[in-house]
Amino acid sequence: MSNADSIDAAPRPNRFQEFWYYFRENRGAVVGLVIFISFLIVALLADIIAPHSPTHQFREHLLQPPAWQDGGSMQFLLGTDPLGRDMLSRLIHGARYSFFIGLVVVTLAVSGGVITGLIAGFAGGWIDTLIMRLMDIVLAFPSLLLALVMVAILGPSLENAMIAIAIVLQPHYVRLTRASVLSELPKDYVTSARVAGASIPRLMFVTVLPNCLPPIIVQAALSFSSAILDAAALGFLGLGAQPPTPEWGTMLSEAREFILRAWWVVTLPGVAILVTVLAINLMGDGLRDALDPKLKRS
Amino acid sequence: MASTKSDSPLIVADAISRAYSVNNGWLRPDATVHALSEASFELHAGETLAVVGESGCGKSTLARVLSLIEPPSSGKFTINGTEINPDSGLPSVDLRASVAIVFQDPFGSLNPRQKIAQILQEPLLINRPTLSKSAREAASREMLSLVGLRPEHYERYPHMFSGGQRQRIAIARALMLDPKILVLDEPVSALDLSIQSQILNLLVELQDRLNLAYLFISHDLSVVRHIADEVMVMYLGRVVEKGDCRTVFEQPRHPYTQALVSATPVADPSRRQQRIQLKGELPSPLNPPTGCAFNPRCWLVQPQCQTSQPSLDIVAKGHELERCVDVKSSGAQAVACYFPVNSG
Amino acid sequence: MALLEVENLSVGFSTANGMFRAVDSLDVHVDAGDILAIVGESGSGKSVSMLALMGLLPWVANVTADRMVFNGVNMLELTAAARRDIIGREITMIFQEPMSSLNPCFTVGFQIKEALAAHLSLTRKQRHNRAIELLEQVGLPEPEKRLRAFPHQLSGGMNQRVMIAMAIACQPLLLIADEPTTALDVTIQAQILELLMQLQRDTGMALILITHDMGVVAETAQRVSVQYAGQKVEEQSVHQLFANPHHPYTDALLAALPERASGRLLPSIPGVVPGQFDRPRGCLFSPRCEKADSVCTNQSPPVSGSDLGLARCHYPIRHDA
Repeated sequence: MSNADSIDAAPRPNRFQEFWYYFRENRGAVVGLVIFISFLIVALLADIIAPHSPTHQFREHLLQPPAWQDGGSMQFLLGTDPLGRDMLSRLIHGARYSFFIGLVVVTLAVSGGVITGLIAGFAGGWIDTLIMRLMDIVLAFPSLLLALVMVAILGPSLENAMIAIAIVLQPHYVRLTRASVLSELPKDYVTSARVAGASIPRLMFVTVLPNCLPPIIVQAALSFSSAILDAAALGFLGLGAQPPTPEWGTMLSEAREFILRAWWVVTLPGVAILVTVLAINLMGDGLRDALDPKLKRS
Repeated sequence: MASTKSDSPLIVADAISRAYSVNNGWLRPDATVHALSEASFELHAGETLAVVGESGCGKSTLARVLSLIEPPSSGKFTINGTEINPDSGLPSVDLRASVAIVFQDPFGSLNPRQKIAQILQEPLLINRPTLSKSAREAASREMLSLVGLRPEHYERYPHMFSGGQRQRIAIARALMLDPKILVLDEPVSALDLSIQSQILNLLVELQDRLNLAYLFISHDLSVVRHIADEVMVMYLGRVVEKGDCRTVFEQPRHPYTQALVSATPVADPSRRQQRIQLKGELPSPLNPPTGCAFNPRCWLVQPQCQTSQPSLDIVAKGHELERCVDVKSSGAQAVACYFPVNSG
Repeated sequence: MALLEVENLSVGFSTANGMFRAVDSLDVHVDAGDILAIVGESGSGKSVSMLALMGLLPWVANVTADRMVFNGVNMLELTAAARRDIIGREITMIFQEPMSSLNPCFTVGFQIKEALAAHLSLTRKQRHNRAIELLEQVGLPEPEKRLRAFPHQLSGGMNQRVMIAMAIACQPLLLIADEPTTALDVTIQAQILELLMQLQRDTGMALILITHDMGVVAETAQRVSVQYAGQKVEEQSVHQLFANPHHPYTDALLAALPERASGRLLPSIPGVVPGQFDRPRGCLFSPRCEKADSVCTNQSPPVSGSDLGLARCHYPIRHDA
């Protein structure tokens, strides 16, 4: 039987190694990744790392400044808030909430959005039109406003805030998935699977979906940061996590009046939000560059 | 090119046509594109029927209809005795298993996210659910070695293979359900010359070993001449000439066939000769010429050609031609032309 | 008089997996009015070498050469502006995919006139007339109407004619055609090749034709250069090449042509073109050559004399008597 090759190709680097090569060229992305991972570790080990309980009120140490300022002490490295709670511990536990929020929202948005996008892409015709126009309507509203309305209807709580944000983020995934599906459907390997008799669910999830993942992964990374920001905004407006939950946005809302008197109560949660969101966005950019085959050089 | 010809043909096609409606703007009614019109032929086991033609001739549409991807709009054909017509529903498992297709582009025909193992096992997984996992794996591994790949290739992804190797994998996948008929849509066109010969040899070996029938679609006449037993020349959706491969190429009866043969470059610099230069462009299927589709470019055109469509008729012993002046040639050849060349 | 002289051209790409040598020690020599065909399969570096000559490679490419002289000008030391003056005017190139080589957003007329405006100082009216003249020269019917058409309104063959019109607009000394007919149907291919030959005869320009189709080579070329895995392995006049190839690769390639087949099975070349990860030491063709021995696998072969077709082989095929 005629043989395919007498010399075998030397082992090529696998996909992950190639991905890592392109990813690490983007310095910002690597920095973002490092920060993200450190926050993740902090969030996971919050109970162990935090010096105090986030909700315990130290009545004798109300509004104490951070350790490097006059009046500060090493017991409360970043000072205390108006109710005497340790800022550092609250920030560390806040990381846990932020990651929880990001994870849940992205999971909800991605699963709902991807399935809807698959259905729209495969069905075509009026189903496709109906779904896309619905998504257009959702997209036409300012996302925060829509989330506000939903939370106002459902009642203010962190869970409701997460559901509202997930609904508002969905259309992006529907569009992305549908676009990928439409570009993969005419390809020969899909026709091959069809000819072999694959059922529609099999075609959707086993044949086509794995090939649509790269833009979805990138969007998921960026949605993570969007979710944290939106939850913080809702928390700031009093419609998200309720006090005494140490969520960064809620912390901000309690601290509004102290901007001039006790800067650390306002600034530190804000900085935490800023750094996290920036890190995730940088990482997401790096992900996109590394995963986009058109930008590949070899 | 002799092969074991069984008496009953595997495929009998009777005037199959396929038309599409195309959006022609808001206010106008949809236009109809006749991608394939009234193709009739037979295909026997162990035999290769080649289909040649240029863009818009309908050969890819024919491939799709025969591999049951799309139903015909009119006409009917039988595979192994089972009839398929415009009203047939989805094909049964047995019917699906009797025809397989291999596509042109080796880089698009394999799922980039599946390992070779998964790609090969999928047809069995879908159509033979009673097979055990180990049986599936054994069958896939055996097929892999049958097409000339090595065992360690089983766990790799498609992007790790060259074009020729991927085409072997595509052929292996096509053979997983033991089809009797293989539709090959330009299987070597995207491959380098040195790889092309490897794949053509593989196809010949497989045909001998498994007694397969091939419908071989190509635009490359030198490949077709080498591998085909019979050839069908198509132009704008119609079959214009059909017959034994050697006869059609050495004595083409239809002017288009003659032009096609003449236009194909020959790899021999000492044979540079005057080529027939066809004027004009290939017509658009949306706007076909009246009468014979070839008449705007034909140098022998007569008024009759512009008003009515010649049909495929036997010239002699299977060589079909209608209203032909001289019905003398030997060999099995059929032509759709009012004034065929090389007559007499 | 030598129009183009390139010596020891090498092009490397830095990739995720190290440096990839796409072109390796290539020599190209073209006289005025020559027709040279560069033949090779994928991975032979034929397109990359010409793109390197034109300065059209991306920044990740590393181009080195001992000598690169066109019409007396040293191409290696040109400023960007000086290069832009020559490229498109004295050396022009046409590509494989006519549908994607033209800008879909602009009319065909706009694009031709753009080429004229970049290099010649003509008035608007003169450019318009010259554009019509060019379209007539390339055999496009109803040229005035075509000027206002967009590329997607024309067929592949017509688009390729437009590309050719743009390429000859400034009466170049050298036209490089990179697989100009591969994407076209056979009857259209014949028309385009005939057009190129006609233009070459009329204007006396030199033509480098890059292709993988031996039939096209036989029909059109005067001299043929065969490339394999980035190196030139043979160069001869076209008649000599087809009758008496000196390099085993050329010999095997010609034997693998279906039209030379003498049985049901074609003599095929086992193995694949070496890629980035499996470059052999010694002769690059040795893993696939049936006559390779230990000398071949360990030492790079020398370039033979012109009586042996400049074959890069330790044991070039001799055709005596």
